[in-house]
Amino acid sequence: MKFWSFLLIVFLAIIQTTIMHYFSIKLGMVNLILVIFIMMLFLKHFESALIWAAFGGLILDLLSSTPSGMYFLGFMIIYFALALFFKTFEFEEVIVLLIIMIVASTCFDLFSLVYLDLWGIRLPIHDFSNIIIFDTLLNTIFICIIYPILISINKYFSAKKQRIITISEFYK
Amino acid sequence: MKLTGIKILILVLVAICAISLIVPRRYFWNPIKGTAAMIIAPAQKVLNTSASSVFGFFSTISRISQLAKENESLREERDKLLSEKVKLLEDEKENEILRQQLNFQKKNPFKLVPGQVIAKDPTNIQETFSIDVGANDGVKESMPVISSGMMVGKVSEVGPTSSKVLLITNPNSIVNGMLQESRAYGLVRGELGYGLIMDSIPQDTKINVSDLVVTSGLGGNYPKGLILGEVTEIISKQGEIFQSATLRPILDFNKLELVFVILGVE
Repeated sequence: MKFWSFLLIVFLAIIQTTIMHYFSIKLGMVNLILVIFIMMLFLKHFESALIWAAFGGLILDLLSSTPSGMYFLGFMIIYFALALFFKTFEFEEVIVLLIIMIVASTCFDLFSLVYLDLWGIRLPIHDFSNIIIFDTLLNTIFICIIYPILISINKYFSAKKQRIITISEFYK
Repeated sequence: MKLTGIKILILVLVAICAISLIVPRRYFWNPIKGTAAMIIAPAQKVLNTSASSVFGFFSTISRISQLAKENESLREERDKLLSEKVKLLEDEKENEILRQQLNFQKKNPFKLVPGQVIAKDPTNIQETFSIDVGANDGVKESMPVISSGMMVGKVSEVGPTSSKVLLITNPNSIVNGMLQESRAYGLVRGELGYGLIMDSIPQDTKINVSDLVVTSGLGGNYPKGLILGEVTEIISKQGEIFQSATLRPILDFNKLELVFVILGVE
C-alpha cells in the first residue's frame, strides 16, 4: 500500500508540472498534493497524510526551480499545525474542511512569499495577491470535486476490510 | 518513543533539507535535482505532449469563429509582409555589396540546440519551464533561450538531460533592452503574470505605442537584436529623469512548445 502511495505521489507531482497549468486562472493553480494530504488529515489518516506531505513536498522541490525545501518545509508546517488541530478538536462537517482548505492554501502561499524573500527573490505583493486568491479558489473548488470521490473509495476499502475480518472470524 | 519506518523516513528527509540549506546549492541540491529530472523527464515529456495535443484540440474547437477572423486578418498581413519582404531582399543585397566594399565582417549566425518544453513549475510563483536538453547537449547555465527570433529567457539550472529556463517575465529577470525606433536604451524587467516593464528610458526619448523593444547586447549576456516585446503603455512623469513603458511579450509563453538554446556563434 505504501509503495503505491509513493508511486501515486510521483505520478501526481508529474501531473502537477505538466497538466495542471492548463487549468490555471490568473496565475492560480490547484496544488494536488496539498489538497490530498489535507483531505487525509480531515479523515484522520495521520500517517498517510505525513507521507504525502513529506514525500510530496520533496518531489515538488526536486521538480521546481524554487529554492530547495520550500514545498517540503511549507507542507510540513501545515501538516503539524493541522494534525494538532484535528487531534484536539472533533469535526466532521464538510464546511470545516473547506475553511481549513482556504486557510491552508493562503498560509502556504504566504509561507512561499516569505521563504522566497529570505532567498533574495522578491515578488511584488499586488501581483502575488492574485496567486493567493486564485490558488485558494481553485484548491477549494477542487476539494469540493475530489472529496466525495475519496469518501466513496474510503467506504469501499473499509467495507472490503470489514468483509475480510468477518470471513476470517467465521472460519475461526 | 518508538521509531517507525515513516518517522525514520521523515527524519531522513528533514536531514536532507537541513543539509541543502547549509551546503551550497550547486554541490548538493543540483546533482540530486539533475538525477531526479533525468528519471522523471521522459514521463513528463510523454504527458506534456499528450496534454498539449488534447488541450490544443479543444481550444481550437472553442475558438473556431475567432480563428476565422484571425485568419482573415493574417491574410491581409501576409500580403503586406510580402511586399515588405521584396523590399528587404533588395536592401539585403545592397547591404551585402556595401559590406564587401567596406570590408565588413558578416554577422555570425548562432549555434542553436532545439529543446522541447516538457514541464512547468508546480506553481506559477516562479515563471520557469523545463526543456529536454541538458549538459549532454552542451547546454550551460545562463545561456540565452529564444523562439522564432524572440527572447524567451535564460538557462537557470542544468541537468544531464534536461534544463530549467527562467523566463524574461520572471520578476527577477533583467535584460538590457533598446527601443528599435528611437534606439534608446533601457532596462527590461519581468512582472508576475507574463508581463514586462522597460524603465530607465531617458525622458527626452520619443516612445510610441506598439514600438518594438529588442535586446541591446549591452553587458554581453544576450545577443543584440532579439525581440523582447512591444510597447503597450508609456509611463512618463514630469520632473523625472527617466520614463518607463509597459511591454507586451509577442510570444505567448504559456503555449511555448519548442525553444532554442544559443550555445554560441558559429
